[in-house]
Amino acid sequence: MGDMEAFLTLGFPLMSALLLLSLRPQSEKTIARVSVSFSLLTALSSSLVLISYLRKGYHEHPLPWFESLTLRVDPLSSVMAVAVSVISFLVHAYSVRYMQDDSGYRRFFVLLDLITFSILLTVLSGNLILLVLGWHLIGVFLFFLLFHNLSSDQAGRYAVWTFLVHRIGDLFLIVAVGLLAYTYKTFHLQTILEEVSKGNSPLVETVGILLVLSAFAKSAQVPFHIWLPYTMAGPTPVSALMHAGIVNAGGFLINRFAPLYSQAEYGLHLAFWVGLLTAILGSALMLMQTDIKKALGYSTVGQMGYMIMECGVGAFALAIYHLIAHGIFKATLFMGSGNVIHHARKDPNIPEDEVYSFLVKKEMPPSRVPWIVFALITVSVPLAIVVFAHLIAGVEVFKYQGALILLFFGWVTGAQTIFSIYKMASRNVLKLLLFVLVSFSVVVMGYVVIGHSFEAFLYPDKALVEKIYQKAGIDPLIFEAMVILITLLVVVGWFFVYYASSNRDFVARKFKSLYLSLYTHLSRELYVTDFYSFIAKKTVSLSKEINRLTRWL
Amino acid sequence: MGVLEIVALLLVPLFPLTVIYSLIFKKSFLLFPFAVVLSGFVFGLIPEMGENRWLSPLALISAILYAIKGLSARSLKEWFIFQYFSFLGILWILSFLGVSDPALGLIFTAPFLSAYFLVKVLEGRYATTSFRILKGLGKDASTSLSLSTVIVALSGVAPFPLFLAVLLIGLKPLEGAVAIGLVWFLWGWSGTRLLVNVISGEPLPTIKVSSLKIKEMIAIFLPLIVASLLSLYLKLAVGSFDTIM
Repeated sequence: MGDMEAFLTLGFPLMSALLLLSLRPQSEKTIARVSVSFSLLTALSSSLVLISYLRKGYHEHPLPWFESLTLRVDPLSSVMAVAVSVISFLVHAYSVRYMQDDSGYRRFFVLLDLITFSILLTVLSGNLILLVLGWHLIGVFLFFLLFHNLSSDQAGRYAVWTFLVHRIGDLFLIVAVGLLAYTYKTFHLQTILEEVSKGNSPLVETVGILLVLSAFAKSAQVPFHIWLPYTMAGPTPVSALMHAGIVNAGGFLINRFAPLYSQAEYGLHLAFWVGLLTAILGSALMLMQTDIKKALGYSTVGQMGYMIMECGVGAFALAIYHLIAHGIFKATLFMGSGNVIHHARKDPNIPEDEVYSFLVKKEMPPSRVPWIVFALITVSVPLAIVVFAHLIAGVEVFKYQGALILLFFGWVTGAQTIFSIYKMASRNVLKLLLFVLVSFSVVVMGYVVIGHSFEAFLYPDKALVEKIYQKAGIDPLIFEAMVILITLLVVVGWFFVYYASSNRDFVARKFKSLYLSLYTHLSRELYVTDFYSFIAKKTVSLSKEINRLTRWL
Repeated sequence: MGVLEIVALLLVPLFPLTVIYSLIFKKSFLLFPFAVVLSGFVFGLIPEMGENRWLSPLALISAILYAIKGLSARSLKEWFIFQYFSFLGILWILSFLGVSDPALGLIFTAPFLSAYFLVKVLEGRYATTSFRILKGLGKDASTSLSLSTVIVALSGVAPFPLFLAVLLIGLKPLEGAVAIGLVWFLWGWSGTRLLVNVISGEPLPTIKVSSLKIKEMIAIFLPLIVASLLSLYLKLAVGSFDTIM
């Protein structure tokens, strides 16, 4: 096929959309066959793009008649193209039956093809104009996909929200690209990245911040996070595509400009703090939701926070690995949600807790391991596993601040898993604990080993990786003070959590008002949504008032 | 201020001169396409402003004012007119930055010609383009009509790639970047709001529509196709976007 793989990867979804639009009338079967076949072809040709990279290394394809507009084949674009097209194929295949008898069956598949095209255009573009265009079109087609249910005013309202947040992100990207194009007198991505690496532009810091802000909007970071949890009114396949593919675009954008971040530190620091805040807020708000779909939305917000934070600490390749792993996980979760609901309806929904066992099954409650033992296991074992995994992978844990921060998160996640075991109050607690620890070790090992192999593939230039890690670092004195403080907080926090779970009445009495006020504020999503609604209403009122006063204009 | 500037200001009107055009369009919407084509051509003639920099804030005010007005437009026709005036403000700003070419002007204004034909088709069927009457168009109208509405409105919301390219150029001094960005954001907001208003919801029971006739489809889509071909020509004959820079 020569050098056609990249064009075909981009062309197949577009051809499918045009074919579906032009051939009429069609049965659902024909629509599905055309669209799914083309999406399979897209996935296959994207694999060829990856193979082509492995064989030839980095190369570019100019578009016919448009020599300055090129498609880029490098480790990042080829891996992302495969991930996007495979997820898109799965969503296409899943939608065939899910969307059956829907009045907008054809429109849905056309839009699915078009959004796949937009994402692939963003991923494969070797020119800033194409990048901006693809980035912009994602927001436009997402608007129409979320607004698929034409009779629902609510779907329309939230689709507008989504569009506006994405447009804000587009603006940041346009300004960043404008600055780069003016500084280096070209829109060619590779030339710009090479020039940027030399580090002689005063605008690099500004562009770094603008790119990160643009990534925040696509990846639902605070304060642009509101669109994601509210867009569950769209069809489930759209949710799957959105949570598995579109929100990952932020991580991709930061990675795309990796050489720039070897010169720009403020953007990375901003990504770290905002990512951290989003990870915490997303997880906290997820716990407060009574609507399971909204909870899933906030769960993605939290995950995206974590991914952006990984970029902020300089672990760029890990962020890509994370976004692909999260994409597969979330797509499965959404596409399996129908089955779960189906089974849940059959379930009598009686929690089998100690009271249930004692009253219904006439069994004695299980004996518990003392809370202090669990607390000690919680703070020490996950830490040991995470450090051990890093040592096996040959990574110098204490060399980079970024690695240390990720280690912290691994530790807290592991501790959370053990705490869940404690709360489950299992009869054979030690056996279960052992299972969890073994699985946790496997996961951590996998994450560390695969993550670092991924880094070697995506960024073969070790010097660049080193530079990014250095830029992501902060003053060692402040960092060490923070590490000690957070370690103390985490340890004291875990001990308190265990103490509180064993002495509920006392803790509930003591902290009731604090708990209630925290619950109230979090359940209102910290009023961010209310604030945006207020601003929107005021602006529309202002517009109405201006129109009333200037009827003749 | 020379004669050329005055002529340009009359043919590519900014607030408050837009009042005249607004009154004309209200009397006869038939003149809208002529105004659009004329302003497209004149865009290339707008001279370097030099000492007339005072027009620059006026252009910004005009662009922002009509973008805000578009947020609460009551009909498609009204929205297209507001959008057109706002767009002219941006054209002036671009010309201050040294981007002025009749071909570019025609490409940018082409969606408004499509808009005119769409409004004519809708008025021919419903006698109005008010949202209250058209509500639910997506559910009841023919696919071709819904699609036309979406494409035409979208071409106003998300202008051509070439516009994005020129927008990048418009951000050159960064002074006007915030204002241009704000206008672009408001266009998107009012445009998507308009689409939701027209397309979503339950349609009135009295509305029944047939598919678009081929002549109507050609009229709606031809300006957009010509504009696309023209931008292709610009790219091939004039050179890359780098040349514009």
